[in-house]
Amino acid sequence: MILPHLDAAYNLARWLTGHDQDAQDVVQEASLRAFRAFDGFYGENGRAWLLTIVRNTAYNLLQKNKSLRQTTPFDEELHGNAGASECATPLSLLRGAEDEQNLRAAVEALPDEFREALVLRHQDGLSYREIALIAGVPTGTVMSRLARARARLKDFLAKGNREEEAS
Amino acid sequence: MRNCDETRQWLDAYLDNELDPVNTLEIEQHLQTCPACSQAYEELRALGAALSTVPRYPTPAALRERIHSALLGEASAEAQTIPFAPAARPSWRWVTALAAMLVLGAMLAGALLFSRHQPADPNQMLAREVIASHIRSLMVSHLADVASTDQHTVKPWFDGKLNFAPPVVDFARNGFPLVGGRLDYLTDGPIAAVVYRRDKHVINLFVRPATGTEQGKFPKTASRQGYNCLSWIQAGTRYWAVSDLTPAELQQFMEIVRRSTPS
Repeated sequence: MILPHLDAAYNLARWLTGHDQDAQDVVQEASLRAFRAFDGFYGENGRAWLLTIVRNTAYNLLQKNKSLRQTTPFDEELHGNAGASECATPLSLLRGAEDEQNLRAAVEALPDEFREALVLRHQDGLSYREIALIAGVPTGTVMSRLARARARLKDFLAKGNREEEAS
Repeated sequence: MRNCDETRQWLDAYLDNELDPVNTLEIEQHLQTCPACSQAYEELRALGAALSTVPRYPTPAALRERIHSALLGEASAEAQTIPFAPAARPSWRWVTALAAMLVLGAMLAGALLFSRHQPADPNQMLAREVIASHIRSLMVSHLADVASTDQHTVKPWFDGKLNFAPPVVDFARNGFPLVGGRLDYLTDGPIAAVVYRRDKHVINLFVRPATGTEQGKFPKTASRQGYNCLSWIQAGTRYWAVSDLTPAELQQFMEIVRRSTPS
């Protein structure tokens, strides 16, 4: 019930908290909560259910640490749609994306709800319906979050390439 | 035919295979005829492919181990609580209520113990517990989980709820008709309570296997708050009869129970 989805659980917690120890705490707490609440679970999708608990536990922790943690608010000026799209070609995009660290950093710079949608879609291969269930939003919202997240990533990577070429 | 704006709007859903067949077909047709949208899709596809190759953060082995053993601990704790739940699926609210009651009972017992400065003799503790349980069974109108005068209804009811089979015999012809059965809990484990009646008096007969550490002279008697308790061991089973009957009547009840059970 829990152990088969532990990798997905830790991965999501790690992306959301951005910190190994926090992620471990979140997964441990979420696993126990999931286990104790197992009785109240009658659905068929155990993975989505566990990930929902992981997500909520992670957000609780982030909320608690908010004052202590140095947060980086998303900067529309810096990462916004400042006319970068036209310059991005598949070639230049791939050059940025090839570098795994670069791509990871780009995803990490995204707001939480964009990041979680991307991770659940691309690393766990979840459907819009499952992501909607986990994030507690309509599927239409999942679609627009993914579209906006990818648009921002594209711009971010294109910008990185341009700066590289300029220097 | 779709225009570019409409196509771009659904491009991500198209990439994620989340569109219905009709919309999928329309997007495909547009992509074949529009180089700009086709390039936009190619970019999106490349990005999606790159994202999908970013490996997951690996789960630390220590965390996996910790959770595994934590869940094992939870599972065994749960297995111990299942027998007292009324249904196959234990309601946690019920278990919590029971736990609260137990804590309250323990505090009460503790308070009594300390206020009287008595040594913690395990036999006296158990006698106190069964008397408290007897009083509770009368107080909260929860005398029996299974109310029946038929021993062939009460005895099977205990099956699967305890790890032992308590003897259940109707003594109506001896003047102690069977009322029903109930599950209860002492500090050291679950216990069966078989309920009898003598005229208007209720008798709780608590039954569980003898632990082997029980020593001293049996039968033992105890008396608290107007209730009498008589305890004995027979055929590896420990019995406590609790009632507001007189000690003599309780003694009579014990003899009847003893005679009905092969030693």
